Amino acid sequence: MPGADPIQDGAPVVLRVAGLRLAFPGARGPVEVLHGISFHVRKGEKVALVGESGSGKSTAARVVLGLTGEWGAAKVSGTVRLDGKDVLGDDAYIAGARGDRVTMIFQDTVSALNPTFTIRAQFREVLRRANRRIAHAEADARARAALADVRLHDPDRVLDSFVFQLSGGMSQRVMIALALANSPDLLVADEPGSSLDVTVQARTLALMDALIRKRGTGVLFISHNLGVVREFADRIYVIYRGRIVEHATTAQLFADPRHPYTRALFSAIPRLNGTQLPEIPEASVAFADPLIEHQGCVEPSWAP
Amino acid sequence: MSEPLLEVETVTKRFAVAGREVVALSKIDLVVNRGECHAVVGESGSGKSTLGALILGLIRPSAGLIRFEGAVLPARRPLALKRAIQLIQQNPLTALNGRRTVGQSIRLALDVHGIGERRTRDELVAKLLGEVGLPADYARRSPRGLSGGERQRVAIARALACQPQLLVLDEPTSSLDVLVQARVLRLLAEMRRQHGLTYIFISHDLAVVRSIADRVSVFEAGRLVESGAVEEIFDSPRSDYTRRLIGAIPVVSAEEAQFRDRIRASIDWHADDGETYA
Repeated sequence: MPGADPIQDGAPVVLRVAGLRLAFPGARGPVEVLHGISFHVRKGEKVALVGESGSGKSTAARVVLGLTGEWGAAKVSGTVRLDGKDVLGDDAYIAGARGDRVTMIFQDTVSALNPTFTIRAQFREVLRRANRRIAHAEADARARAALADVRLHDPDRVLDSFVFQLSGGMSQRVMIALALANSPDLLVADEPGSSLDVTVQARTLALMDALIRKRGTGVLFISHNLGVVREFADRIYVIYRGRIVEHATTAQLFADPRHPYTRALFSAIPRLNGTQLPEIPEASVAFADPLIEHQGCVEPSWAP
Repeated sequence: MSEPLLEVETVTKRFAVAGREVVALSKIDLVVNRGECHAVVGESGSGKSTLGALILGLIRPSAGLIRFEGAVLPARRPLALKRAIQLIQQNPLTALNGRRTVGQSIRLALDVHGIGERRTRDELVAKLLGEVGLPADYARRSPRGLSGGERQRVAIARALACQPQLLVLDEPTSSLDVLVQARVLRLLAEMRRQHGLTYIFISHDLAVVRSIADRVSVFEAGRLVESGAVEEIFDSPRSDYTRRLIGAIPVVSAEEAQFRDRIRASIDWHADDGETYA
């Protein structure tokens, strides 16, 4: 039973990760890539894990999704709780929840969608995960409605297409429609839209935002782009080399970035209004400074 | 004192794709002055990389011509011209030969173009590495063992080895993390100043372009939609396409958001049945 929750927002926690560690075997002993990270997502909340390549942000997302099968001898410890249930190591449970209660969107939709099935077949399969006995006619009607929600105007043509027959922007929309078809509790979105042109990306994210809001889905948003995160997320964790270094609401982080690493990131971003790029320090020891949590941003206190 | 270095005159490039003709660039006129950083921006399919390939002589225009220092660039480029126009690519790993050491790659450029005395070329390699902020002992390393930012520095050193006049930079920082990107952008600005170089900076990232370019040409689906000084293009874009590009950029500060929202307010959304960015 969860204990007292200090966060002002009383919405239930759909994802709680606590003290997550991950190590791979190396030639000279295990190499740890996640050093005990904790984060949570509430119902209807958009939470970003933002960091550079090698920070461990996507790796953490894969652990949440139970996509650790191909890592072989990797050692995982800590707690991952989905809808109040401990799921770390419970592969059968995660596999059952995936595609239904927990869904995902990836950067590269073309390889994430199955190239050998039509979009229609993929919708039927996804909808069957929520309702095993759903009739084709009903599945197709729901698929059409879902495609209309993502503003694809010729749903039947899209349903009869294979992914390679769609543009990048269209396949990203199909992916969003599929991911939200069962109104999941949690959506994990790994760099959505970042391989698209900026004008397409801006529209796709605005659309995704509106749909998530409508359903009250919690989102774990993985991104390297602070600008995208600023527009999309309610709360942000900055991750650097397998450690979370700063935790703040979006407003707090952008008004007052405090960790040396976050500050370096901010200073390095080229600005649209034309300010000069400053001298950027090399990876500094200060980047390893302890976690800074802004006011009100505390992990739920129930014991892992 | 704007002296043209490169003049693109009514250049069209057509490709045959699956039996159909695709116009990658349509009647482009463009002047790049000596010493400037001229950004070429646009989304995928705009023709920006095709323009780069034409300038480098990797492909030939279907119509029109390109002048360099006033003379028409020939179909077969003599060595001196190849040396004068160098390329920096997005992915430095594929740009560098993984079977050569960093030193061998740079040294090869010096040998091919007969730059410096044969005996002193290794010292020249060390000097070039120093210029791009890498230790001299990197000459013995393989590019495979370097980080993305280090590899891009090696690619810059190799281009500088040729003592070029013009660098075509095709998305030179797009695959780099933001901290590394900032350092490479500063290095590029410094090298341009020190060596009096001219840049054609191809990019989809308008914020990056704003930080480095003097002039900007905006491409959409093979057409040049507008061209002008960087402040002019960003502060008062004339084409709706440019406004859309600027309006779509995710920003990180309130000042930037204000700047962007002013541009957004002037976009005509009717062409997309009202679907906006916010």
